[in-house]
Amino acid sequence: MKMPMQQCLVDDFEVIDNVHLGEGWFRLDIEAPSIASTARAGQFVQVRIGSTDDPLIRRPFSIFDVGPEPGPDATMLRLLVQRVGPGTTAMMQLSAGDRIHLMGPLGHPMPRPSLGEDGVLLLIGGGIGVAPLYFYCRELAAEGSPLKHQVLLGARSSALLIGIEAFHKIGVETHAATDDGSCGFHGNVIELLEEKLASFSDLGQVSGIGCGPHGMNLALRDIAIERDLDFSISLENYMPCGFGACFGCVIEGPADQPLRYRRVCVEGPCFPVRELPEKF
Amino acid sequence: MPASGTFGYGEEFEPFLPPGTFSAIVPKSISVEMRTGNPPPRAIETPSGLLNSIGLQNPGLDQFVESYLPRLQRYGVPILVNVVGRTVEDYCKVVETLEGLPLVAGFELNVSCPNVKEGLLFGLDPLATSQLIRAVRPLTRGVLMAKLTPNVTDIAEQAVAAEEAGADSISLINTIRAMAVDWRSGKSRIGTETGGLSGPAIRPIALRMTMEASRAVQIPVCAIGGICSAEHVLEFISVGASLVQVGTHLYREPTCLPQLLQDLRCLLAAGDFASLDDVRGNFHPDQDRLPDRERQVP
Repeated sequence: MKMPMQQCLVDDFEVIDNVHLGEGWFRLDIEAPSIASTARAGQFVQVRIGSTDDPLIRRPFSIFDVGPEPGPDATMLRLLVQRVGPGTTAMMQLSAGDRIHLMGPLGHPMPRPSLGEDGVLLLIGGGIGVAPLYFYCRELAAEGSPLKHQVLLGARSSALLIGIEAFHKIGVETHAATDDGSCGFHGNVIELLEEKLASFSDLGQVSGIGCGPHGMNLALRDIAIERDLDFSISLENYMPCGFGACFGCVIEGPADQPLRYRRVCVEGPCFPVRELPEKF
Repeated sequence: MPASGTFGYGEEFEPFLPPGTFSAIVPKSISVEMRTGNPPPRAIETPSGLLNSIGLQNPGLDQFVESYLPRLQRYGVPILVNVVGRTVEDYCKVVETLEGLPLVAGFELNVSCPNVKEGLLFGLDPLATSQLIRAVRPLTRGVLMAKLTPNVTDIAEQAVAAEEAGADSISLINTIRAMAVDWRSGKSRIGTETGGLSGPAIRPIALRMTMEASRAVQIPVCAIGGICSAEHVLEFISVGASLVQVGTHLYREPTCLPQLLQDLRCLLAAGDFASLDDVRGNFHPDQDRLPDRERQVP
């Protein structure tokens, strides 16, 4: 699969707002019409943090939303960020008027499954993985897509179910799973998915896109392979460049072609589960 | 020009800027046979550096000629083909096949990849380097550049071997063998035990080796190693380099080269230097500041 030759911008942009969401999470609103107007759900931007050599390499962030509405008139780019290290700590300190250096949009958009009238698309997210799923729902709404979809979100506890209100606000059927049972299903999102799948009489009418922590992604792949489900998983590998030049972010091919290394940045970041190896 | 291995096969840069922007294109290493590359994870950031173990993943000579070269030729700039091989015959085969094709201006012989078993077979031994260059030399009328490894005690010895064997120029440095460890799991943090370190962290080492190599040979030296700005370029020119390649920095700033060239002109003008020639090799040892062992006693 070749990346379409989409213009990619490398520039600095103005931060319009930095909304702290608690638990070390925040949302950056950036005025970046040149990126926002062409970005599609599932694509990402590479953020350069600071102007020194530490950190040296850009960090990839999925696009969380564009505004006011997805499409050619979008001017605002929104990123959902979780503070984990020095880079994201620096990003958390950005405020309105500051500049942020972005490269993007990069990677392929998430796929649009072709499902019948009774088909349902399940969007399964954990942690920061909710970001591209929200953009995906926003795109479906903006297009007036008839694709039926539900969101399954997992977190350790209700306080960490970041972004769930955002899904509620746009009227998407959303189900939560928390490890401690403080909100929704008591258990992890994979167990919730299993329960959900049991309610469908024809699994051929179910499709799914997952994006979450490594453990969740592995479990999701196993379930989808075991039941022969048409699922895709969006990966977040360490990417030295993000645009295909370095061959540093590769994953192995499926079990029968382990040496068919593919670059997550340009051939992904979303892959059909049947193309993923057992461990990735 | 871009440093081989960091520029993919040119098309990766198309979304950013016309590849015609470069003075020459140096695609990722090409071997006779296709190579799948090393197992992931292939790269990790270390302080001001990038540790990689890509393993020379490339489509192989036939595929390169068929699919990749025509695209590179479209850019209309000279192509310096980086060649890697397991044997002298491998290098010769690649050079023979590509010699004389449109825009193929020359070859950079990679004798210095630390990430594959045979990568350093040639580069660590001046005699082997010399034999390889002697074998390839008659096969091309283009530029023949030898890319040297820093993983040696004496870079000057390697440089001289390359010059005497007929290389038109040398480029240095390739990455420095290095490692990153997770002590809890007792495992390497990349897919192989060791990898190659690049980026600003290695610039002072590259600078020292550029100086040593430049002093030892007459042929042009192409400097590589953590160059990110026009200031850095001039430092390398000052110790004797004639050309430079930008590598790791292209990952974070793929559009940097036009700006870098502009900055270069401004810096030269601001410093009252008419051209790069006025800076080239202007570094000179200061007798008063030499370490004791090198100071000349009157």
